Amino acid sequence: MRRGAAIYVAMAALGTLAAPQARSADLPGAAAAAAEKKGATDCTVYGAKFFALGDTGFCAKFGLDLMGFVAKDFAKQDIAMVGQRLPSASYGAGPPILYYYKKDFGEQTRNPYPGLDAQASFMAARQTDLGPLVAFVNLRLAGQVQNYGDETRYIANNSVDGSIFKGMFDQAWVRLGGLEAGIQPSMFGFARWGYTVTPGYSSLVDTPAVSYTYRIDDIPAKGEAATVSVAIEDPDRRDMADGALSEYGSVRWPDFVAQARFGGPSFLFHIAGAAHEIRDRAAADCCGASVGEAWGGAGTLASELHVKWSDVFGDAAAGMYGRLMIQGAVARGAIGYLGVPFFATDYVADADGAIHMSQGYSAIVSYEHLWTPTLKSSLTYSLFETSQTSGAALLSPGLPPLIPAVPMWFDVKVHGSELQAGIEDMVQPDLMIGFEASYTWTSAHGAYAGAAAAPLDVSFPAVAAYVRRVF
Amino acid sequence: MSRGLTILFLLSGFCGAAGAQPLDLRQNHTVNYAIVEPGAGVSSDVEVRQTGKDNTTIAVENGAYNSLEVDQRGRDANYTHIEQFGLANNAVVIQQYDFRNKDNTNSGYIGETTPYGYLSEFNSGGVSILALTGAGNTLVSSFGRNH
Repeated sequence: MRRGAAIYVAMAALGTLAAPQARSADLPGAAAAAAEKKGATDCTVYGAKFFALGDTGFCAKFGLDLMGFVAKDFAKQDIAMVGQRLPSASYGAGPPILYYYKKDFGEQTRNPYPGLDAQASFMAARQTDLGPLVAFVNLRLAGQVQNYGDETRYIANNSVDGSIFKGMFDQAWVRLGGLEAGIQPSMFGFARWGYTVTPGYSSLVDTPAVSYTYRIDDIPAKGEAATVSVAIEDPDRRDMADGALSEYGSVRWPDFVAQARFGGPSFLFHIAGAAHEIRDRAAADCCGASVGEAWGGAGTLASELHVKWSDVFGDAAAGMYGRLMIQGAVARGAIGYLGVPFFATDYVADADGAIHMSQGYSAIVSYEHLWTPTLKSSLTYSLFETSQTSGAALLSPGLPPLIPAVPMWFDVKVHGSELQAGIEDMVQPDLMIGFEASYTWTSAHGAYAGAAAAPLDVSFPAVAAYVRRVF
Repeated sequence: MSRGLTILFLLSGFCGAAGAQPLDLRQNHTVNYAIVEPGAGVSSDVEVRQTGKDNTTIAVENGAYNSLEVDQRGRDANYTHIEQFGLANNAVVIQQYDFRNKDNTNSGYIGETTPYGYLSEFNSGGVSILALTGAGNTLVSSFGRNH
């Protein structure tokens, strides 16, 4: 899923947070172990709202999560990218080129836009001789009114490959013991992308996958546990291709993802890596080159810490809690793992089929402070950088040694950061209202055949207010 | 007599081919690239004027009637590569030292359709890249952040 500024994308995270027990690799996951001890039909061990599903031995739970919001994007201009194949006296067609410029968005962002995110979930679980058997489905419909910029409007939604039906299945998986199959959160991503509702620069993707998690509970320290997970995941969900500089052909391999987590009552550490196959057909389509192949990859480190501030500051901070998350990710040829706006494709295919993998990183620091049992605020800062290059290709072969050839290549970098602040109040049990504000900075610079082009900078604020009801 | 007929033929050919104003392309950045390749079978009449430090024009014209005029005034280098494969072809190249240029550093990107194909023009800092492509060799994408 390509990350945009669209707020509705953020709502996927809420589904995950609303059902943390749905993540097999979350730590500590004591519910299953407790259920095993107390008996499969004692549904209280799974948490509130679980009920026995007849005499099947399953415990089940329904969930409904509704959010309505209105947001205002104050961007008048933003950096936009243009990929193109230049004609060439040497190739006929083909040398790739990437331009960047300031594009006007004033018409698209002139009015505030409303949106809705509705999620319905169902979980059923029971114990078996092979471990817990869990089935989970989270259906989601999300959309927001967007403006084309010419007074016409459309509803942007969470469809996948143009299909609302496919997009509606946010999660749908079955787990037996540590083996899990279906549409599930990627093993690469951390638990969340910052504590703000609008996303920071972090990857959190639900994807068709098969995963296996091995859990280690017998760690000497009390309450601590570790998991090691491996997964094969749908590679298409993270593809970042534009059709001109890069175009994915049919891949032969899924994405291979591995994860390890170590956690306790007040902390969680996370490390993950992924391998992503590239099989390009852009150069074949435009220039008759052979199919280019390469393997991209990504890695991430993350941690989350929980603090009870009265333990630090005494009674003056009674009732105050905080949690801090820090995450960093790097990628080469797999920009989709960074969770950043679409400023770079995964790779650039030269006219001769050579693959130049794009590189980048993203990082996020987020803190959430619980002032009272019902009032919390959050602050998130995230940043990213992407770098795209091409190989030198001849626009003209020249007439050596008298007349030199004319090569062309590009090197374009985009980096940006975002500061987000939010406050949320639970005005009634399961009814929250919140407000968030953000400010985004982005800059781009590049060089063409060694000649420096001008850097571009943009910055703009955005605000959003929301109401959320959990049933 | 023979030469006079040829010239007459060329002139009449251009009158009938384009039937429109020449496409006037101007670049005055430090480094200028103009790549002109209208699609196969598209007759064209293009004028390229470049001032700056390094000027490059590369043109491949495959129409029945092709006309290209290149005027380059570079402080360091002027480079022109022309291939014409028409019934009637006309090319004029003027190259001289640029002794009065003032660089333009305006930045921006424009993509537009012309009678001879798709014209993209990228100007940024000291770099200008201009490409005229026909229907068969125009491949352009646009991407960025959603708003």
